Amino acid sequence: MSRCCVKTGVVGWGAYIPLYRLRSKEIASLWGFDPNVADSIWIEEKSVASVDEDAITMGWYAAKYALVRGGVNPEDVGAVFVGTESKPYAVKPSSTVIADALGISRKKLATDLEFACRAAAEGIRLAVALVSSGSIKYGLSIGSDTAQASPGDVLELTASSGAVAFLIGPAEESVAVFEGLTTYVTDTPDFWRREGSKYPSHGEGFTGEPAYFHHIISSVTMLLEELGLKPSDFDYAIFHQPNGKFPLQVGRALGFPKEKITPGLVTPWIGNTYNASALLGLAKVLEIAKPGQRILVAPFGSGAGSDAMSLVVTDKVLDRVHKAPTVEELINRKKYVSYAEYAKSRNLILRNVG
Amino acid sequence: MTTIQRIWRIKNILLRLISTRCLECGFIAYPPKASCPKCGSRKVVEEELPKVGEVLTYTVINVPLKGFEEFTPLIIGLIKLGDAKVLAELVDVKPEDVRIGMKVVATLRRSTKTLDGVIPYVLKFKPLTLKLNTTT
Repeated sequence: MSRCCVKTGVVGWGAYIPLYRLRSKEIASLWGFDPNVADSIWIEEKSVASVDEDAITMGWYAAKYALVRGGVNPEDVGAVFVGTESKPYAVKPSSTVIADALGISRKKLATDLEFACRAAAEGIRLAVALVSSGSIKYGLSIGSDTAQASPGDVLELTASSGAVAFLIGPAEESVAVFEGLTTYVTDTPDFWRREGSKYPSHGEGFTGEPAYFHHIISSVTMLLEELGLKPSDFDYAIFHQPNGKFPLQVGRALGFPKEKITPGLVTPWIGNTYNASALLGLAKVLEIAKPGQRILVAPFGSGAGSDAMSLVVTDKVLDRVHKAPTVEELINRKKYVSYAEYAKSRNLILRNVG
Repeated sequence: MTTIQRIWRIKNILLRLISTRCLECGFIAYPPKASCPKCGSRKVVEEELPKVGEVLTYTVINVPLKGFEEFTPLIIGLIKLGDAKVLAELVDVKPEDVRIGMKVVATLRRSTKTLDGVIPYVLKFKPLTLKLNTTT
């Protein structure tokens, strides 16, 4: 075990996926994309948040069920971190709204973190450090996004909505115990959104090799070296999922077979939920994992950086899975909407009201 | 539209469904009251309502108040939460699919903006479609 995460683990987890889905082939057809483009990146449909949902409302839902699964009194939570790149306010924290709505102690740390899709992973690292040092007993890290994409941009095929929350606490109460965490970050401008821009921009092919692949391979390689482990020591491997294809490709490059990666895939059926992407994969895997199994999870955020985490599942996981809705249940609970309904609910149509 | 002062003062009512229970007659008041609306007793205690309940009745608003245009049609339900009754918006359901007696669960959602632009968050209710082992 590395010194960064002594005696800490995941005490509870919660997920949220909005009810509505938009088929990727409808987007491709509307904008005249190559008919095979959705299949080529393995994206079947994406989740669509309602008109009254945002990163705060979805994060609240996920955090509520992380507390339920952990069986933890909200008054005992000492830190709340929200990783998002779709804050409802440019200036005003989301973490305080969620914390007050859940009845979490006022004596706490609370902040919103921004690092594209990996801010919530950094929130986990911060919570682990605080718990490990004895500063707090429990810390919440929430990843929640209503991802934006310019209409007609290829990004629109995948940019979706969802949230996940992890309650970090003492190892003896945990469903999975951390045994190592590494982070690798550089200045790599693969994806960005400037002040005042409604939609993000991206560097097309530049988002692949120098960004996603280089950073994930680097963080995972560092973790394997630090822990003296190899891919065959892991039962599951979960990577950030901007589409369904990249995680399989990066896994192959690192030596992880497809069958260890597919159990943690969510993006082909709900799209890229940004800060919730890889971490929803971790939640999904926790819901099927057996005690003693080892999980690798490696989120990625543009700009760019990746975190690699190794967790070992404990026997406490068995009792907690069905205390709250599972990721699988949330993926399967869905209603399809048209592009027009999606455009209305995601505020893509300018109206003269009020 | 409301104001930031008002939603800040009543945020525990909007976000956590804080009510008052009368220690004399047991009546639950939502929103909470300083004295019991039923027997007049001032012996009341604050209590958080359950978040799972059922629809007692509902109405559909097709011509909304100013500021609520994007939520139309607006479904307002009278929800039974334990011994309390609460008026709240129903979401994630079409008007034709709402049923009296339908089980619903609270979900945090945005309401319309305040006059100052602040977003009020409130608990609305959606159909209970997944098994929950909690009512809190």
